[in-house]
Amino acid sequence: MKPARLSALIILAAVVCFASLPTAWPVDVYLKLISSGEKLNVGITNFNPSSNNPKDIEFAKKVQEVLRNDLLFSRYFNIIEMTAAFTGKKEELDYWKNQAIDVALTGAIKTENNKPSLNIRLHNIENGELMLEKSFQNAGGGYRGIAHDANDEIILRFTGQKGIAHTKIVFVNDSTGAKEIYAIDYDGYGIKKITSDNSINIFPKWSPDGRKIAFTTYRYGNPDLYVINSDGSNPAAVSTYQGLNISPSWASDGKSIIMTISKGQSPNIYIVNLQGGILRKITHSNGVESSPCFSPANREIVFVSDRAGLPQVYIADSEGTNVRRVITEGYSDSPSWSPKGDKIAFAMRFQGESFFNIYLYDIASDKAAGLTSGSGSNENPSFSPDGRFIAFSSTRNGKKELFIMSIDGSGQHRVAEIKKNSIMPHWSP
Amino acid sequence: MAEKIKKNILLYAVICLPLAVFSGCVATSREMTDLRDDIEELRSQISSMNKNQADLSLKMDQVDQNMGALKEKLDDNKSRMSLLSKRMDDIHSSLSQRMDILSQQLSGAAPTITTPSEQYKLSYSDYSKGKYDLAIVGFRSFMERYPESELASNAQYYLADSYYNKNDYMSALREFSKIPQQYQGSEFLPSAKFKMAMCYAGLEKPSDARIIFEQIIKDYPQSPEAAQAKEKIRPDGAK
Repeated sequence: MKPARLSALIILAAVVCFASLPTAWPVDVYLKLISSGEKLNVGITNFNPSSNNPKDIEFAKKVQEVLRNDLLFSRYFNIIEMTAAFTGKKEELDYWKNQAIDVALTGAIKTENNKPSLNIRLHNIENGELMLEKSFQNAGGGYRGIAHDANDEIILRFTGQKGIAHTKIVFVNDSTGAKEIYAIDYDGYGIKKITSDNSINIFPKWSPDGRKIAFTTYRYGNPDLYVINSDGSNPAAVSTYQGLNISPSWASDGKSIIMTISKGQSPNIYIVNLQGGILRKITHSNGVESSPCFSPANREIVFVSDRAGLPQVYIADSEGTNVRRVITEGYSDSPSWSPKGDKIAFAMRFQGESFFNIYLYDIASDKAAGLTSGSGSNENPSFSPDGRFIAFSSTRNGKKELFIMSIDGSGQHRVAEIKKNSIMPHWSP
Repeated sequence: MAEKIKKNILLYAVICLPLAVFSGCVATSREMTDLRDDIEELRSQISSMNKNQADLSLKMDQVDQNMGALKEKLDDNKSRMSLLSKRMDDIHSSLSQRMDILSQQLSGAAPTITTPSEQYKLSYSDYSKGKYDLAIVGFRSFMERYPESELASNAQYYLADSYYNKNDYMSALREFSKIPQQYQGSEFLPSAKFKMAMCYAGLEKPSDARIIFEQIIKDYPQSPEAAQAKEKIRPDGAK
């Protein structure tokens, strides 16, 4: 009770500082992060293990490593690993200041009743103040779970927005010879197979609460839309109209899905409920209309149509009216609306070229900028829930693999070494 | 002798009868062949007609596609035109702003620079993010400052739609109805009318809504709005 109350007090104090003292330190830190885009230098010391038992020392090391990688991934911080201890003494502050460090991160593992917990502290090196102290219980996720918890809290403390260390990416992989759906942690660990029916399973999309995945399966011959729990249990048919039932995308309330249905005619876009009942037909075209995606407020949709002769990205009101084209020069596909609402990522290739690249379209300024180029075919962009990163598939290393980059196109890296081809990534909420 | 002639006649008859029958057969089989030929010809005519029809429908499809592509090109040009006139607006306003700044500098006040398209962008970005209250304030001030701008009809539409998205159908209806009144050539006309009908539906005035839906189907038969309007007035459709 006591530590909880203390941390509540600290948060309250921080809020008061934010609100009333614009010159106090929290605002300095905040502005430094947000306005100039400069990264904060975080010094990190070796986390204290709960005992000198080699197993406990190893555990502390692992927690520290995962947390360090999470913090680095967020791109808010530079991490400097310090061998010197930090206890808050004046001469330590001076020494750390000389290393150009802004914040000191210290951690300690405690084990009670065989349950490890991580206690972290953040000190402002400028004045030695304690900025954050919090403990994280192991909630079943092992050392990676508590490190991710600590990261999300630290990011929240500095940006006002929760970190994304607990997120996963769902994707399609063909290593078994069939196309099955898998999920992997955003940092490339903990790969898990979700479907195992030796068929073709494609277009996986997380539900807004992250508990379910919608996907198209050829299990019964026809491309049907199914929903499955994220642990692979309880697959249930949603839309099984004759012909295509493909490219789903969830509404933010999780009660309806927008998707392409052909019913033996031209593929058009429909909104269906989770029982497959058609709530609304959005497009009425003789061409091919596909890959719909809601805006975060569900008031608009983005989709692909070949009504212009070649596939192009269109935005419409969610009633299917006020249709306007995103003016692009080439063959455009797989649009994805940013969770912040102001941008749309899509893949495009110029006519005559065979490689797709990822583009980011700024809705307000009506301009698209290329994020990838000259490195294989890059397709199927999907935003991280904080809207700062994009997962996509790329053939730059010879086969189709999952990649992540920042939305300015920097920091492109492979998620993990995964057997065979991995395509159609979708980032969890 | 007579006996002989009789015999001969009989012989003739015996020989000729089958001949006659046979010649009848020849006639029938010729007719059959003719008929078969006729049928063959008809068949080939039908198949060539079918082929023609397939060619025609292919051509129709191509024409349709070309029309679609042309329409999109036209849209491209339209949007380029509107980009140009937006730039004109910006240049115009930046000129007058420079004058303002000069006079402000003379009087010692701090200058602020915004072009119409920048202000529009800011509000549209709020709209896209779902921050409708902010968008309403932004679009309103845009309409006040730049009523003659190329973007004025856009601002009017998204101002109205911001109310609509807040489920404030009264205000949305008021703002949407300004588009047919004030911006007759606007490309937002079908959408604005559709949304007006939706506002009436939201205000539980289905007969008013229906009148407008029917108008849209009549006035803009090719538009997506007409397709949606048809869905709305279908007896089994959602109101």
